[in-house]
Amino acid sequence: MAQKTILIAGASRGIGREFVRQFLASGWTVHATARDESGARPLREAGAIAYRLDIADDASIAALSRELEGVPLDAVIANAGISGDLTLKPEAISRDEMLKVIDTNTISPLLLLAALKPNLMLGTRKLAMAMSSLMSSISSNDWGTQHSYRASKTALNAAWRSLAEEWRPDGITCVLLRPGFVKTDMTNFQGMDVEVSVVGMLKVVETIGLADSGRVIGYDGLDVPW
Amino acid sequence: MRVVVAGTEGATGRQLADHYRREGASVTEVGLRSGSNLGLIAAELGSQPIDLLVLSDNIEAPDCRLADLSRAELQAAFERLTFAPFRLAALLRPNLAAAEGTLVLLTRESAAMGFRDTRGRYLERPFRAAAHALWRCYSIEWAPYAISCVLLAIDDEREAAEIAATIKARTAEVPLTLRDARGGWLSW
Repeated sequence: MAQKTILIAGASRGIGREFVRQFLASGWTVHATARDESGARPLREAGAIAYRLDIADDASIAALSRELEGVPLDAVIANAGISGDLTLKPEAISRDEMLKVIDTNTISPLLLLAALKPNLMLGTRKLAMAMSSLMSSISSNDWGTQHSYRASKTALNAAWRSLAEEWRPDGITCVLLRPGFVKTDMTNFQGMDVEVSVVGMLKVVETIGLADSGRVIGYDGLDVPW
Repeated sequence: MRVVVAGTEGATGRQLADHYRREGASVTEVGLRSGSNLGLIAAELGSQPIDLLVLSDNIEAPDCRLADLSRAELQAAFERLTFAPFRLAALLRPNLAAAEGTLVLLTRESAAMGFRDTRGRYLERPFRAAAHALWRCYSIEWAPYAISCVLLAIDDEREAAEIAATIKARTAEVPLTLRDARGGWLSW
């Protein structure tokens, strides 16, 4: 059986770094990106094929696409994301602040997947994935706040639904993953251990197919309600 | 009654402004073309209490494939459909609070997650959906100011009088839910 290949975009720390470790341990060939060489070097040392990528930079995405020309990818996870300043009240949120979050969390994953579609078409599993959040769920929101982050993840959910419909004829499964509340710098290291979250998400990645396209699936296998 | 209708470049906004004017309200019309200075708009409205602020945008984004889209186009769609209504509402919160007023965002059913139509799938749907998320936040966070928030998904042929009647009927919901022009519940 041909070895499965995945690209993790945003792998220098936290959930992305753990994805690299666990996918390698599961026998996948792992391509991984970091924003700079200091992030890329440890990925190479761990056994991944590492690249530099600033997901919010079109030239950087284009350069990665050129480096990967002709390389089959079974799966892509656009993991890079930011929280923005979660403490800001609505009147203090500037256009630039909200745009920064939307650009990184919503727009950039779409553009990255668009650039890597040829690689997915060469692969077998054809999985196009990015990272959502419970904060994307409007129906679950009973307390407000975290405006830019919520907006970015809800927009991502909607965009990925559209992507799922557009790429269904190509046989590409478009799914968003929800990691849960994980101890990373984005949560001030509160929450569950990253290993637990990624074990769950890896199980999801191993089992999903075209029938799951358009879903937002948690590390626990449960769908995030809209 | 003091009414502000933002987005009167579109038919729905214009018709609503006319409707409220016929009902005897003092109506201010606000254009929200790309590049509008929202701070200036808010400053021109001063500190007058606002009983009803309606934000409407009739834009119908084209059906594009993802490969045909640029970052700049996606960013522009965000600014128009997500940030502009969010920001204008935030600037006018004090005016709404002074009147215990109602804040209304008119949206489209096509922005709901379950909708299968391909229209505006990247340049409209995600950014209207983001605005839905923000309006839910407003409905919760602004309840202490007695500001009512309403989110209505309408189609462009809907009569202004019907929209106005639904607005009036939907002011008590915290947190808000997505409704159609007749007040019927819609899934997010």
